[in-house]
Amino acid sequence: MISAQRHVAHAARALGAAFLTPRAETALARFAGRYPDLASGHILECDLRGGAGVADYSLALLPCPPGAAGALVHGPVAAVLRGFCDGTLPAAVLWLEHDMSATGELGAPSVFLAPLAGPENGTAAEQLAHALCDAIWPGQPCPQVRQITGHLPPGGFLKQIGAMAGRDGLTEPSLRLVIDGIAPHAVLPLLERLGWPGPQDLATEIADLATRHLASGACRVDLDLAQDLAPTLGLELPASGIRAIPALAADLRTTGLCSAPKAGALAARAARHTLADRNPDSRCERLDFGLNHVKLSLTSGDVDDSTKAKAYFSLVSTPDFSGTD
Amino acid sequence: MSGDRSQAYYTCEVVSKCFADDATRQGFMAAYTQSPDAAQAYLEKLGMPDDMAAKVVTLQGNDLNLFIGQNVCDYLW
Repeated sequence: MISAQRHVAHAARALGAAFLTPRAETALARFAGRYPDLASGHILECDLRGGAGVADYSLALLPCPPGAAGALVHGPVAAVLRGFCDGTLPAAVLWLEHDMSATGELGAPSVFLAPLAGPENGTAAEQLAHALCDAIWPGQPCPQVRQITGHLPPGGFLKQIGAMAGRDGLTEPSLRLVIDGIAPHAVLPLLERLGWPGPQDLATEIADLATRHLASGACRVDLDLAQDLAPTLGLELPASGIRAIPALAADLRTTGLCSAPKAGALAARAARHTLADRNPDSRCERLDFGLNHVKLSLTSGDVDDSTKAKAYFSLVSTPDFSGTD
Repeated sequence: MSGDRSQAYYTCEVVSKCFADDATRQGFMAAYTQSPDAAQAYLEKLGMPDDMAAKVVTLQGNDLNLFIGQNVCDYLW
């Protein structure tokens, strides 16, 4: 199930002028087009504050032919990708994420892996953590993910584990852990149980936002783990669980996390739909695009703008059944 | 649904198999337009549990498109 890289240009165009500058749109399409067609899906990630700007780009891979890894990336991340493709890593999905600079340049990727689900989730997470550390920070002690996975409530599991290898200045081992299956009202008790060192008042604010707007299902909790937990926090709200996107957008606007133009654009573009630009070579394929999730995050406890909201739009290629009813 | 595998997993698995090559894709689309029984048998042949396949074949057109898109995204992210 490959979603061709050229389709990213259609997704960038669909985001529109509220989210992307023309320069960023062009840069995104050009950059994505350099990858070979191996990804199963794509994410464009936009800050909801301010005017039109840039978008980070990530691609999702299902296990691919072992020889393909070298065609995708070089350097330490390539070793992780090889382990994923040849089946030696217990992972179901791999993501490569590129941050875009303010001038529209996309740098080296960070890499994330989905540990296998089920009873082996904790063991798989440990194995993936060591694989990431060995590749990105060889010879340095790896964070102990068991101190997190061993304290999750029933239903909680590690959805993703990643190394933010693309971030400047990250020279010591630090892993991003994305914990799924956490009800909004269970976020603060989880942070307390883990001894999370961040600002409780700000965590309470974003947990309350999640509680107000998630109608069903769970949210995801993003934590950064070095030798200890960092004071950062992310709460991901799946779009399918949000009660009403316009109400969330309005709430984010009131709290200063979303600008007026982006609040309108978010509500208008959230629903999953077929992009008008279809693949002319394959009329039974459709491009499925829409809001995947919204992330509320705390990046630091001691600066005024530490709280952010970002929208993540996803693009996948699927069979087209329109006209069969 | 069997074990720890989810609706999103099976949707992604089946769609991946359908996209393996043009012949599989065309076979899938042909079975789907032929009859609900043929579609269900095809989905089960590709590995979808029978209870889920029975539910999926009740969906048509854009409803089916949205079901697939949502579940593929749920699995990937």
